[in-house]
Amino acid sequence: MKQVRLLLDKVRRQYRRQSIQVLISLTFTLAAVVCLVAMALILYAQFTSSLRSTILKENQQLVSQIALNVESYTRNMRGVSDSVYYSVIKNADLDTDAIDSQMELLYEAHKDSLVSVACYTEGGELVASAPLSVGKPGLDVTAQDWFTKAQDKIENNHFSTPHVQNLFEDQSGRHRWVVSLSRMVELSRGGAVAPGVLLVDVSYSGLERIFTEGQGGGEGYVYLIDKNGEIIYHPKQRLIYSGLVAENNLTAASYADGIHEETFEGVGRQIVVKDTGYTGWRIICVIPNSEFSVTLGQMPLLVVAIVGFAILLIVLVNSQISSLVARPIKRLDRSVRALEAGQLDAEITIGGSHEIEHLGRTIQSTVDQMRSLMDDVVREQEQKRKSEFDALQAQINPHFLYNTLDSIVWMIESEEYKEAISMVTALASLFRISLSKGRDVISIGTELQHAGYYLHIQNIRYKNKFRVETDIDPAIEDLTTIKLIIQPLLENAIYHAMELMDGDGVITVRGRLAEDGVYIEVADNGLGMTEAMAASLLAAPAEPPPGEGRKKGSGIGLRNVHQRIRLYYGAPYGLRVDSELDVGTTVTIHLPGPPAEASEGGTP
Amino acid sequence: MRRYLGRIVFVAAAAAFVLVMVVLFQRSSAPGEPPGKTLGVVVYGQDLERWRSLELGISQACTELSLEKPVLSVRTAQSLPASEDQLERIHREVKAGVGGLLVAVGDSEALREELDEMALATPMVLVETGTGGTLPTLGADDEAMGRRLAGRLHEEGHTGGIVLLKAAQQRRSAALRYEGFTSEAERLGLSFTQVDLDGPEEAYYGLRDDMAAQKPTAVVALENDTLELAGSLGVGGVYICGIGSSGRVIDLLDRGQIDEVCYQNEFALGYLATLQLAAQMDLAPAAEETGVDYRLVTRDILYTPEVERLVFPIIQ
Repeated sequence: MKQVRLLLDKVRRQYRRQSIQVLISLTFTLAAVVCLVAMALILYAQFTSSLRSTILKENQQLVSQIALNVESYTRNMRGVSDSVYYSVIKNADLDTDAIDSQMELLYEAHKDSLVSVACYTEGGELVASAPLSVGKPGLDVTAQDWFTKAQDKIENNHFSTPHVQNLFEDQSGRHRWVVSLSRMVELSRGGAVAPGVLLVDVSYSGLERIFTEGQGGGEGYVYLIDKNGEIIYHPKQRLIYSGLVAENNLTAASYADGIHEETFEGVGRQIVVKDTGYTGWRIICVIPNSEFSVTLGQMPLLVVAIVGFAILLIVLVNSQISSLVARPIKRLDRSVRALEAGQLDAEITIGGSHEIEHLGRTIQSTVDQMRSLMDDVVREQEQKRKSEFDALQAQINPHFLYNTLDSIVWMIESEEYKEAISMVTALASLFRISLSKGRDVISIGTELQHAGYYLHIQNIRYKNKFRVETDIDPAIEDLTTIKLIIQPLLENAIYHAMELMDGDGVITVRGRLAEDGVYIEVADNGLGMTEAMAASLLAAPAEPPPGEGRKKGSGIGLRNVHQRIRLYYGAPYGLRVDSELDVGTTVTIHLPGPPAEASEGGTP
Repeated sequence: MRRYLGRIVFVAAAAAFVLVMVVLFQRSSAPGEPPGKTLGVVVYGQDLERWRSLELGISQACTELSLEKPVLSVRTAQSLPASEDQLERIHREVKAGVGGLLVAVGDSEALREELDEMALATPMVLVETGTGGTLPTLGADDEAMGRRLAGRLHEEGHTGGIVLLKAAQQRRSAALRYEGFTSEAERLGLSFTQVDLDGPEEAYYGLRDDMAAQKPTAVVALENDTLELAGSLGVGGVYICGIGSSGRVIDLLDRGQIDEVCYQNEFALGYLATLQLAAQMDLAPAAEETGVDYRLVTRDILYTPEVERLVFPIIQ
């Protein structure tokens, strides 16, 4: 049982490993084959059963026909016996009448089947006979079976089993096989009646012919026995007498009329039995079971051929259907595998039944969305890189650098070494923080330092045209930010607001921590700008609003900072520009609050 | 290739199935038709009636095996010696294309080598008597039959005055019967005289005169022809017995001219020999080796059911 379970499990595992085409094909083929075979077996069994019944019925009819013929044979014998007795013997006085010639006449009338007719006295003396008239010398007929049986059954005719006639002196040397009909008769002699025996010997060949003509082809055969089971006729009787074959005749004698089944010498067979009237002889028809197979002939092969052909057809059709069903699934599977392997441009096959089609379209849509998202990501990354590059480029603004270096040269030439050293130091620190060893994110404190260095340089350059006020909440100094976001604002403030101021320009840098993040404001008390201008600084491309000319400076600083902040931290963050004409401008940086981890190298 | 493997396997399986079905159908068609191989039967002597029982046995076997019933070939050419005539008839049968031969050899010695050689190409079974060569032979136990007859004579009280008719012992069966009889007769102390018979007619007249002169108590003939001869002598008061199977012998027994016959079941002989030959020709399965029986028959029991079924063929 355990092994059966293990085997079933193995089969189940194998089954699950197969492709959908194999599963469909195998399952439907198996189901169809099982149904086909079951149907074929049932029909074949029905057919063979029906054939068997037909064969048995035919044999019963054959046996009935033979029985009629045998009855006719024996009836003829009785007819001859009655004719001889009633027409010749009964009314004759043997003392005066010679019955030989009449007997001869009767014999001639029936000589086709008759071998002899003879009449004996009770003591066995031959009274008359035809055709031969001389009895065998020294022969005692009273000892013969036909004589004694006739005397035993006075009222009946007695039929003997076939035997060789042993009565007459026959110069021809022929020994005839005959069937004898003997009966007691009354012999009249001079008015006295004495019993005698009338013997009619009929040729056995007549009986033999009935059976030889009645034998069908094949292995079955018909034979005749008397009520004791003694064989009267059998197609192999000499072989039986020689002991070379055996027959179940003695058992057959006990069967009732009808069909019986028996096994004899290891062979199963059907027996049809029919009694004949008057004689009590039994006709036995033997049909070996193998006869039914022979009669079926090529039928089993035909059934096997048809079933085999049908199975081949089923296999073919099922494999085609399963292929048809599985092909679009396989193609879809191949497309998905290509996607899995990273081929995002792989074509998604859409076809097959509407479910498969729908599946394909859904996958296609998903892939398209994936591609779009990936493109967005790529675009974002590119923008980020570009923004960083722009910021860096802005930082390494040639004008700022040249002017600063110029200033340093002028200071050195003017022997203002202290200011020159201060400027060079500040410039070095500025660029060091700008580069930040390649990091994108630094602390706010460091960014403010960077802004401080910038302001220091610009202050020297602008000969203290403006002053800087700072108000930074220490809580934000350790928080992180992307680098190079304050300096561009300061640059804008210096270039657009402080340049025109004459010592009273103020740039205020404030930093505070709010609930929704960190706010860093860079405000100036410069000329300010219109609302429209302020709005366009962040939204519009490099082109200024109509009617307003391009201001000095890189022009991309604010937008660059705004984009970079949004790229890194998302849409809620970035810059806000508030300005009022002749009052001033405030640019506010909104960054996320804590916890924000400083990303040491790489994007946050 | 792998892609088409399934289709190739399917086509191969379908083709194999069709081929197998065709072969099976062809084999199963017309199972009952005769196989087309015929048998030949060549016997010695010129009396067909002598071989009636043998013929019936052969016929019975042929019916069972669905073979064509052969016609027995008997001596026709009187100009040739018997053995040469028989050999010629055998050659004729082979030339006619028989698949196998049953031969009742007339002269064992003369035909031995020739038959051994012919049997290499044509299956052959010898009936009644062998040649002492390589060919299979079927017949009753000849030595036993000879011994049995000697025993019967002793039982009947014939211990002396026995005449043993001895024909030219060209057949090995005759020699064996003679050997059996003489050895048993010697053992039982029977005294017998051997009379050599040289030919049919001369033998008959000479023998009759011999019998009249010698007045034997019993005459023994160990072959069918000589037994028929002995039976037809019409010598009264002599116990005539011998080995024979012809209808004439039985008739003489019935008339009282032969007293006892050792009867070989030639019907069984013909039947079994045919089965054996058919097995050699691959027309039938190998038959179980069964001996041919014999039986002592007297007039008293001739018409008993057991004996009459044996000795009287059912022919009309």
